[in-house]
Amino acid sequence: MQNFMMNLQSIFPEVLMTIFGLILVVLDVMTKKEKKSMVGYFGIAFLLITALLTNPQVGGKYLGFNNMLMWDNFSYVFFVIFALAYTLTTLGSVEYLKDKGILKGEFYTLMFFSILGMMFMVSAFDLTIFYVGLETMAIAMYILAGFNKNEMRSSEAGVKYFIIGAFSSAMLLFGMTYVYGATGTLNYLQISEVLKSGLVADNMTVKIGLILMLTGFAFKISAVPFHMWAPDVYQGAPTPAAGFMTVAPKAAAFAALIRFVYIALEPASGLWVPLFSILAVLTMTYGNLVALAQTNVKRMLAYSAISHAGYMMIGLVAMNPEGYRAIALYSLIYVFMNIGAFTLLGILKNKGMVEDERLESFAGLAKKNPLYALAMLIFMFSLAGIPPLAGFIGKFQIFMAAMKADMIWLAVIGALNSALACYYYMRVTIYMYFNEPEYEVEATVGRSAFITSFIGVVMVLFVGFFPSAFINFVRHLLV
Amino acid sequence: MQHILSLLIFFPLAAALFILIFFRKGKSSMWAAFIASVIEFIISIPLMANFDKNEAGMQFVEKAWWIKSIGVQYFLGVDGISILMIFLTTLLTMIAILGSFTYIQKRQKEFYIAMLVLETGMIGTFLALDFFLFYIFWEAMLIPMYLIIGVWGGKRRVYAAVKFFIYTLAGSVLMMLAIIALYYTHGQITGNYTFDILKITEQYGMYGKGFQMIVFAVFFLGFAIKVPMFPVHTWLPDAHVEAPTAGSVILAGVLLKMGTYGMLRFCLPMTPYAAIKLMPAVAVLSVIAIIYGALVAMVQKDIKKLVAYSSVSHMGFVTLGIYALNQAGIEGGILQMFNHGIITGALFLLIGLIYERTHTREIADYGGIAASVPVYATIFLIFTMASIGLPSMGAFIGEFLVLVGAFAAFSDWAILAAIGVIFSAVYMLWMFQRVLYQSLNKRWENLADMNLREVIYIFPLLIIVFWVGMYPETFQSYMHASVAKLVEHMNTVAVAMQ
Repeated sequence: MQNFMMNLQSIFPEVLMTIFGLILVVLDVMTKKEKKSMVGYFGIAFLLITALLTNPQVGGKYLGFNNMLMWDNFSYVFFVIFALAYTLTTLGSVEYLKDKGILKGEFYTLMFFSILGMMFMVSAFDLTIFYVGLETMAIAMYILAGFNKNEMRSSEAGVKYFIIGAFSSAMLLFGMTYVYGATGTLNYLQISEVLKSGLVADNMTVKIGLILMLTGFAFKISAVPFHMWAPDVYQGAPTPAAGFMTVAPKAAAFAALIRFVYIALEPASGLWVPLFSILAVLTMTYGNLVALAQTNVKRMLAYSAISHAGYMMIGLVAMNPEGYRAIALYSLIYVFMNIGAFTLLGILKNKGMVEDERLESFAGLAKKNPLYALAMLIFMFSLAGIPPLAGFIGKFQIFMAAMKADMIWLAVIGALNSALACYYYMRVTIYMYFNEPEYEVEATVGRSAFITSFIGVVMVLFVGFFPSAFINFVRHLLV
Repeated sequence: MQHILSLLIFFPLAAALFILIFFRKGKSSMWAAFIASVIEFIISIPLMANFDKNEAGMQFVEKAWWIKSIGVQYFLGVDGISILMIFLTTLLTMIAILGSFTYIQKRQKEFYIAMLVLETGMIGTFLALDFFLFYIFWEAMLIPMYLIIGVWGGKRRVYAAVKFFIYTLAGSVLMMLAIIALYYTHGQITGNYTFDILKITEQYGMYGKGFQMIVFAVFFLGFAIKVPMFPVHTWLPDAHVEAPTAGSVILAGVLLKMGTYGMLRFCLPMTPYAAIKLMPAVAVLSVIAIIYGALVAMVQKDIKKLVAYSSVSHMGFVTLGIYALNQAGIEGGILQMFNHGIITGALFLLIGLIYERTHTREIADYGGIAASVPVYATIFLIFTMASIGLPSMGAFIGEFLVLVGAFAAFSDWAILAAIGVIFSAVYMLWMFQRVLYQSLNKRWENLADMNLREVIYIFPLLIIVFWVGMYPETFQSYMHASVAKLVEHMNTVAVAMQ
């Protein structure tokens, strides 16, 4: 009986989310065509209810189904991150979707179900569960990327994402079979024990399996050189979906990776720490260097998303609790600044064309729309990590974790990279503030976009000035 | 009096927010900003008056937890080293705002908001005694300054703004890592993980030699960029020339001082071993800056650029004095920081106000304008002389003390530095002659002389220049105790090293 309760508690949030998701599908059928955003708002309410009901409190751990599924503070914090990403995307996307004629209930149900998948990914203590969660999320994401089927770019993004995603999932799965073959188990705890026992320490099978798996993970977090899908997908996807995709799935992939490497692969840290250190350097540097050359802001933000994954990887290889706490904090902050920036990007209009993301279209915006420009300036400098904005707090925590782990060289490269990155974020502000407008561009800030960017700005400033609340939120995390 | 430091930091920010929300017109926000800066200046007066000159430690201390989980405090305090900088900041901001009334014609409201936000950042940097807090203020200052140069600057403003930003940022990101390294090292030694600058400084004896060298080098680089010292000075001429007058005044008057202030606050007491070891090297760099800055200033065609390079030269004196590591040198250095802020600030204001009338800064375009603007010529002459270091005026005292200190520490270099004083006479007088004397350029026959507002904002600076020159003790008395403590600290380490 106790076992049953434990099982129930461990899966309760996911069950709740599934029920709510199904209700959402029904609601979608019941709402009128022009009122589809109601579906999204209901989703927000459902997420809020779930968040309120499932808080495990500090130290609470519910491990069920023969150590396969875990609901603890770690899962909860990441669930909150996904929920916030959903909320901000939903609030900020109404006008964009209307303009593009793709205001459909599926947009919201897909995001909602993708969160369910992410929750399974984060809570998984078993590779099977993890894989099922991953696919649930990924399939929803493929559709979201190609959601605007009237536009070539979007369809291309969907197909590209699907092919590369399937490819990387296959690689992951292939690696899992090797690991299973060598260790005889798919459970994180048991894999860790087998690795610790030293029986398979020099086993080539395990090594190949792990490397294949880590490569699969690297695809999912868009680490260089496994990133090539990311810019095209982020650029092609509808802007709000792109904002969501740069934040939530990435956070989920990181969280799942953290669980996997910290629990299952802890004994094999000699294998993956150097690998991911190199990937981190490549990701940061390549992402930043290429972003410098972009003239399209959306594509620039796509590359910036890659480089941010690089910073987060520093927290991963630090191999201490500070490291993954920093990643959680970073993801949380990233939600506000990146979705904020994408929302603002989505409402920029140029003479009939619905969106225009070229740098030139930002010229002189500070004059035409000072509030828009100020909000964008705050997001850009926050992404660049300039204090006293939130992005700095995230970076600072990452670097603290790296320094604590004595990975000074990595911290130095990270810090220099963040100075380098500053330039391309500044370029947007240069166009907005220092240049004269070149042609007619309008930024009509509708109500929903205003609310989202307002929340984003307030949170970015709030976290910058009073980081305590957020740091306390993640400081008790344990994998 | 208990929260006077917080008031000093946050009053300008509050005023900026107030203007942002409640003011629509440029003109009214201009006056509001000026009034706010005057109030800010008035707040700094009781601070000066109630400052205990015999106390070497921190005064008016404010302390509260900010991010308790990682040991970050909201920790403020002022001592003999920082108090003059506070005074300088509030004074120059007020004057710079008054000096921008006619210069800034577009987007006035935003300009004055940026100025006030900048003031918050500057004062916070001088008052912060927690590394995290310090770093936040230090970096936060960049954004308003970047906008001031970029939006209201001259032709190549974008280039100058970006260069300024990236240079400073590159220096300070590494500083952030050094701060984290100090945090962990101090935590491991004492078991107390804190960003408290005073506590981290106290444990200086426990830091290994190699560690001190690295931390010193990183901090020094960050600060040297800000000063700016040779060879990382190249951002300065661009930023100075392109910035609007108020920007140049604040840049030269206050921002450059943050580099030398940081050296006094961190490089010397925290890593004394490294500071003593590397003292000759820094002296060499300082002398190079003095001579090189002066030589480059000599050949400039643009008045503003000339003054910008003269800053490199004059700030070389400051670093030379500081790294002499004796009472005279350091006091001279601080006094010279103050003097340079006043004098160069005044020079930029004077250049700015003539530029408003003529729209040129080329020396060759001028000539003989003393005939049409006698008041201007007189005041300009006084500040030219002050910049050269004529006795009875501020810079003389500062440079003299620096040379006395430097002579005791490294006499050869002091002699070379003294030659720099002669060079400064050459470029300043030559510039003055070409601009104000010689035959009158017909274009400027009807040039308007300084008006009342312009005289008003130059006047306080004029008084201070002579005040420091005649009776420097008024200003020096603030620093005696704190500098004596610092010098004693350095001497103990030097003795221990032998």
